[in-house]
Amino acid sequence: MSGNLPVSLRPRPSRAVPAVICALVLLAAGVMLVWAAVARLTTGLWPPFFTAVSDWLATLNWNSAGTWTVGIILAAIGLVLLLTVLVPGKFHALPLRLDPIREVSGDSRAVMSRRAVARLAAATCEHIDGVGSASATASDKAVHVSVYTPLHDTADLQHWVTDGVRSRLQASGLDPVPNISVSIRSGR
Amino acid sequence: MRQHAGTANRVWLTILALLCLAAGAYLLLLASGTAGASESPVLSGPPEEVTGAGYAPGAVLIAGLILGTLGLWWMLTQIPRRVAADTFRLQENPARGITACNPSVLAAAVQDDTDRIPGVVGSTALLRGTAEAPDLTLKVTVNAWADIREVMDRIEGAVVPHLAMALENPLHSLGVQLEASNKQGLSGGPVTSGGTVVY
Repeated sequence: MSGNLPVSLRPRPSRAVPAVICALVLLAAGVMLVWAAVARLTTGLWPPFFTAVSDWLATLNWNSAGTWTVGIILAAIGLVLLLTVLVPGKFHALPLRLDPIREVSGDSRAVMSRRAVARLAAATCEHIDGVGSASATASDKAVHVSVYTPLHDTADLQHWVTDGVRSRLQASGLDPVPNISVSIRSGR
Repeated sequence: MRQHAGTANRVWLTILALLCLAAGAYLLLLASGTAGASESPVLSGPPEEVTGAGYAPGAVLIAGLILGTLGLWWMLTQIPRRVAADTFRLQENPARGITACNPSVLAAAVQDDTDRIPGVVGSTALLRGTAEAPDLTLKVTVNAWADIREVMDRIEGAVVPHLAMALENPLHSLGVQLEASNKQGLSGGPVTSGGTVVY
C-alpha cells in the first residue's frame, strides 16, 4: 500500500494576496450592484454612482482615449493575474532526508522551514572561535550568514564559518545542502 | 500542517485573468476599428434597453448576488483548514461492543512523546485519515543547538512506532515539519556555561 501526504508539507505559495484583492473587488462590485438594484426597486431611480458610469460611457465612442485606456488597463490586469498564477514562487521549507520507516506504509517526508535553517546556521556560528555575533537568512536554495568579528585577519574565519555551517546543515540531514555564502564585518 | 486554498486560487485567478485579457483585447480591437466601426458610440441608448426596463433591476440584483457570493466565498477559503480526522473506530463489531477514540487524544499522546526528546521545545501533532490508515503530521520546534538527526531518529524510532502500536496498524503517511527556536528544550538538551579559566 502506498499513499501521499494528505496535505503537502512543502507547498508553493498559495497566491493568497492577489486572491484576497480579487475577492474584495468582486465583493465590492456585488454589494454596489445589489445596492443599485434595491434602490431602483424601492425609489424607482438608479443611484447617482450607478448612472454616472452609463453617462460617462454615453459620451465615448469606440475610438476615444477613454476606451483605449480601459482596454489597456484590462489587458494589463489580465496579464498581471496570469503571471501571478504562472510564476511558481519560492518554497517556504527545505527537504530533510528521512530513511524509510517500517511503521509507515506510504509516504514519509520531513522538511525544515527556511527560518529554522537560518536559526541553525546563526547558532552554529556562535560556537566558532572569533565570531562576535552572527545572523543568517535562508532561501530555498541558499543560506547567507553575516558575521561580526573583532578579528582583523578574516580569511581563515570565512573558511571556518562556511565549513562549520555546511557540516551542521549536512549533519542535520538537509538534502540537498543549500549553498552557503558568508559575509564578514570586521572591527572593534 | 494546514490546508491552504492554493488550487482554488490558481483556478479562479486564471479564469479572471483570461476574462480580463479577453475583454481588454476585444476593447482594443473595437477601438482600433478591426472588429467594427471605431467611430460609433459605446452606448447608443440607455443601458436598461439591454434587458428591458422591467427586467433591469432584477438582472442587476442577480449579477450582484452572484459576484458578492463568489467574492465572500473566495475570501473565506483563504482561512487555512486543519482537516483533522473524525473519531477513530478501533473495533466495529456491535455484538462485542465498539471502541472509539478521539484522534486528539492520540495526538496529545504523540505530542507528549515528542516533547520528551532532548532538544525539543514544543510540538503539535495532527492525525488525519482512519484508524486503519492514519496520516500523522507532526510540527516539531527544536532548540537551535539541538542535534537534529538525534531528534529525527527518536521520532522515527520511538514516537511513530508507539502510535502504530497503539492503533495496531502501520501509518499511511508521515509528515514532519521542523522549526527552530532559541528557547531551551523541555527535556534538556545542549546547555551553555560561562566561567573563568585560570592558568
